[in-house]
Amino acid sequence: MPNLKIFAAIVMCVFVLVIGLEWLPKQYTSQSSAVVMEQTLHVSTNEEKVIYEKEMSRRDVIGYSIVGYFLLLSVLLYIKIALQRFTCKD
Amino acid sequence: MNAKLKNFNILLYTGAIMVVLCLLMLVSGIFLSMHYIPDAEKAFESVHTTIMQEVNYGWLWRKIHAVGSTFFFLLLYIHLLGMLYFGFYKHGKTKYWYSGMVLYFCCMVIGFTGYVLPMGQMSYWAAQVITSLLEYIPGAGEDIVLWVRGDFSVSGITLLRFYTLHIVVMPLSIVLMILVHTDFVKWYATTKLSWNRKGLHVSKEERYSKHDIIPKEPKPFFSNAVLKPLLACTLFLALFFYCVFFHDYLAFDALNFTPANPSDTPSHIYPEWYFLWMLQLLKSFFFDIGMIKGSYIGMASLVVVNVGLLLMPLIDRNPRRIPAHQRPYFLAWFWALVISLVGLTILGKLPSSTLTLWIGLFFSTVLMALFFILPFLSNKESHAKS
Repeated sequence: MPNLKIFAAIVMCVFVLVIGLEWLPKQYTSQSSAVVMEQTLHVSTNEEKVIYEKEMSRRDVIGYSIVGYFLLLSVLLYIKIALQRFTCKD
Repeated sequence: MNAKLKNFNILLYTGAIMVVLCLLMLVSGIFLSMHYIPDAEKAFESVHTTIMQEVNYGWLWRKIHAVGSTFFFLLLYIHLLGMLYFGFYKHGKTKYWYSGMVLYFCCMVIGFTGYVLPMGQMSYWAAQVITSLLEYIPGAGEDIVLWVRGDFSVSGITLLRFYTLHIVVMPLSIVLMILVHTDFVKWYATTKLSWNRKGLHVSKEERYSKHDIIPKEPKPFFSNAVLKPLLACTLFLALFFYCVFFHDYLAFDALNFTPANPSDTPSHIYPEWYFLWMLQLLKSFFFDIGMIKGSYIGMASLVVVNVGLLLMPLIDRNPRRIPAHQRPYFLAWFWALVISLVGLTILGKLPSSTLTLWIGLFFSTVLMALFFILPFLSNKESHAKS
């Protein structure tokens, strides 16, 4: 089986699993109990709400930076592989 | 571009990604163990207050550890099924299969003990249910349960035992098994060192001059063999950290955000997703057959499936190591296995109803039967080929 077919089969199985484990059980139970709340910060007053939102946006920035870093690294590695092949052919 | 993408086989790199993930789990685990308190009263608070709120970046380490375990088991199943698909358990590969299966069982233990540590409501009840399964061992079941728990129910003593298993015994066993599985010693001996008959180290140049061999030009270190797995790892890490930061709910259960309460049993108890197929297999036989209790049949089916997987090199009688798409009978067998496993995993998360029980019974019977019919199927296949 070609590699793309293997990859497609894996993606399909993972998709079915995610749907089956995340979406399907919520159809059986009440929504309120199934929602995972962010519990890393307590939110009660307005001041705390502002701190919470700031902290969340800071975490988002860290997240995007790390994901971006690895994506950039992947692109550079891909270029390196492509260049190596190109020079080998020459 | 298209041709290059076609050459990129994800199954070849799952092992390398799992090693990277193992290191990530080890580092995050070390940071978590600095602040975790293995005490029944303080464990929940140490995780949800100290680590998640008070310690700098404690939330990040915990999320990496939790999402990491989910991804690790996902890759483990992909790796295992991939090896099964390509028949990498025959002819010289049996050693890797057996060591891999031992590694798989070690990962199961570390995954289970890790799930208990936060001492949330679901952790507590999952531990209670799973340890009580040992009662089905004929003869000494109840004594074994008491020995494992150290108490009549899951308590602080059980937690301390699981903590020791999780941070000392199992990581050491896993590292050791990874070295065996990857043939590290053999690789090190053949590439880095070579020894003469007296046990003394011989340098590469000496070895070559002794046998009049002209050494080949060394290949560049960053060849495709290194770069491709590295590319797979960086792509995986991008996806992994995306889930850590933006979809961490995949690794956490809502019920586990409340502290363990021994007097309040949840209506539906389930372990982490990677154990769900086993749980459903145990629950599926909801009726007694003659004198045999349904729960005993469930336990027996779990043993059959796990032992069947372990003994694949012996059960599969076809001597040729060829991929499943070149073996029509085995291909059908393989997909029946995958569908049964996925079906049982999904059913394990759903609350019990008549419909889920009957579907579960169907998948469980299929899964168990698969390991009984494989010897005949593979025999027939090899005869048909010859």
